[in-house]
Amino acid sequence: MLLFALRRLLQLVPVLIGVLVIAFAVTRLTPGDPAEIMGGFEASDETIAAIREDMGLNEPIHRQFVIYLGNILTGDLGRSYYNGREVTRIISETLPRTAALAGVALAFTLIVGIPLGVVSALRKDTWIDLGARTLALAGVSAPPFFAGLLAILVFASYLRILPSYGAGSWLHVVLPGVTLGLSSAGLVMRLTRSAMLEVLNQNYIRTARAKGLPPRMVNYRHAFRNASIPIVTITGLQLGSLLSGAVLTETVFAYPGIGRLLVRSIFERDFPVVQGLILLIAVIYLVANLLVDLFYTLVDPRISHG
Amino acid sequence: MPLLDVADLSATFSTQQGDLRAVEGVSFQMDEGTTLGIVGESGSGKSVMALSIMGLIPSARLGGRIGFEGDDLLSLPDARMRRIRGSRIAMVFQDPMSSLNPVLTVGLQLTEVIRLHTGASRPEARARAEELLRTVGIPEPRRRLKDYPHQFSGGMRQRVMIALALACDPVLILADEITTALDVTIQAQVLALLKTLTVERQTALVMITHDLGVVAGHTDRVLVMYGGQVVEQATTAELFEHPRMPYTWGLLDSMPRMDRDRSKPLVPIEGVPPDLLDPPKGCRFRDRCRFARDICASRAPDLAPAADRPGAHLVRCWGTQDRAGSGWLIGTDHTAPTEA
Ligand SMILES: Nc1ncnc2c1ncn2[C@@H]1O[C@H](COP(=O)(O)OP(=O)(O)O)[C@@H](O)[C@H]1O
Ligand code: SF4
Ligand SMILES: [Mg+2]
Repeated sequence: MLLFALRRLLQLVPVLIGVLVIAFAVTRLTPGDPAEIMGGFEASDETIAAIREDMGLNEPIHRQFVIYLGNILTGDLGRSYYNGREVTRIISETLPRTAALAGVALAFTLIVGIPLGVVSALRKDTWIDLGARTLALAGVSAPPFFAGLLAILVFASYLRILPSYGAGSWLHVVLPGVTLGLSSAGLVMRLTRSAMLEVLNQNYIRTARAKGLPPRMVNYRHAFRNASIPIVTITGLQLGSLLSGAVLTETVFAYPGIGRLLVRSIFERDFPVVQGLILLIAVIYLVANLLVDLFYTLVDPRISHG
Repeated sequence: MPLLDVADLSATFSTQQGDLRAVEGVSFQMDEGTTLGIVGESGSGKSVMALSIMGLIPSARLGGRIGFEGDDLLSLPDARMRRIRGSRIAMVFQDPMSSLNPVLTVGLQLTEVIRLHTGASRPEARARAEELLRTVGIPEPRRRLKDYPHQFSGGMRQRVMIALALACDPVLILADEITTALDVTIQAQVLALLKTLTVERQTALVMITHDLGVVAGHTDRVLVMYGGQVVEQATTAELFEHPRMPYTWGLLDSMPRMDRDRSKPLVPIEGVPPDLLDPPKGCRFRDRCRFARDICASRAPDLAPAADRPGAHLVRCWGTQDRAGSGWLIGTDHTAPTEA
């Protein structure tokens, strides 16, 4: 198991290198000169030239890449062009907020999506199933900014029970978190339902029933365990779309997380921050996938990792 | 009182094309410790019948009566039926590869049924499970309890399924095509194992198969099914010596036999089984029968004593029934059939 985890970690190395190259290339190949941005409108040509020199932008591109790699390996992601603060600092301040947001969204996804899907499958073609599927459809199709604005309108402006923007207390996380979780909850519900229905049709479920097991044991021990394999896969992959969803949701709720930071840094051509964020997001993706893989080996004995 | 008393059993599915009657008017009885073969081509309703006895096809409308140990299984509430399933009546299925849960150990799948029905403690159930695996001929049973189904070969898995069926000492085992999915070399071993174990324990056994060869030597009596109905019923010896129904003749001719001239080619039955959504008005076998006459198209024959073997044999065929306008096959020897 440990060996398997290590091997999977090693396999990530080439992927990470690819990400590094892309993160570097994207920021260097987009038009716009960061030195001009840093210098501002009024800056003289000499000032800008000095800034370029200072930032290493005059070095040949491959030298810039080597310097960049060396810095990353020592944990130095550079400084923001915009305010000169260390990128690692900026990210470590912002990341926990988005983590809280994603945590709420993920919890909502699991707590609502999975039970709803299971019940829907067990009560197939009843009004409960119909109701659950309608809810899921609504969750999946509502765009985050629409659902977000609606949520603000109802809970913040009308009912006045939750704050609508900003950060600070856990209450600030609830609205954007649930909004962010809506579509993945809907997706996970649908997937849970279809995975359960498929498993319930399998021969081994018939065997379990033939043994006289009560429905509770058939449904959970025998069916849900098998269905959980695809469910976890999709939930793990959802982590990726939660991140991209965070960009929109954080913008709607003026929530100062990495999504909003990314949008702002792109507009400001704050290359070091953008690079740092791309790296971070890639690592989160990879770790999520790794966790999904490890889960497989725990739940599905057919996957060998010897 | 017979152990199992099936009377006029029918099973109907509602499909998009209309009602499909998969089993119709099936009646038979079994005493304790006896064996019954149920033979018929694929689609003749054998599995649906067995699953009806187990109460495992909720999607079918069932009619008739299934008497078992003083109860009518068709009218038992769910909870009571669950206490019978796996405990008094057990079933072994066709495909051992897909009939065991892939994510649970074989040990757990065995002990859960033992604990459920006998209330045994965990260690007691484990000891019993180990003994069961040994009984069905699985080497190193203690170690194998920890293994998952995919770590067993097809034949070994079917042995595990047999162990599962025996787990709570049932009085009746339904074995549905249990060798169909296995290698030819293993089929005989698995059949012999089930036979030996049920004889030792005096367990009644229903052996379902599409292959008359499986029934020979393994069962006391045979039901031949066609299109959801019983078309011939006799003791196994009687059926092989004096088959009375053209469909059974076809089955015999399509089966390799030791006691027959090897040079005689095997002939599969031509044509296809009847459409159960819209079954023929007369004899269901008529389209494929070389001996059919006019009456076969217009009226459906009953399951009735064969005129030349009364008392020993029930047949659903005009040709062998002694009635006005019928009986043209009385005395015909199927091994040398003459054109009608
Ligand atoms: N769940 C079901 N819904 C509709 N039709 C079914 C269902 N199960 C079986 N049947 C039909 O019932 C008939 C008998 O099937 P089955 O008992 O499986 O045959 P056998 O076991 O003899 O091969 C077939 O025509 C089959 O298509
Ligand atoms: S009733 Fe007629 S068609 Fe049917 S099996 Fe007998 S002879 Fe053939
Ligand atoms: Mg079958």
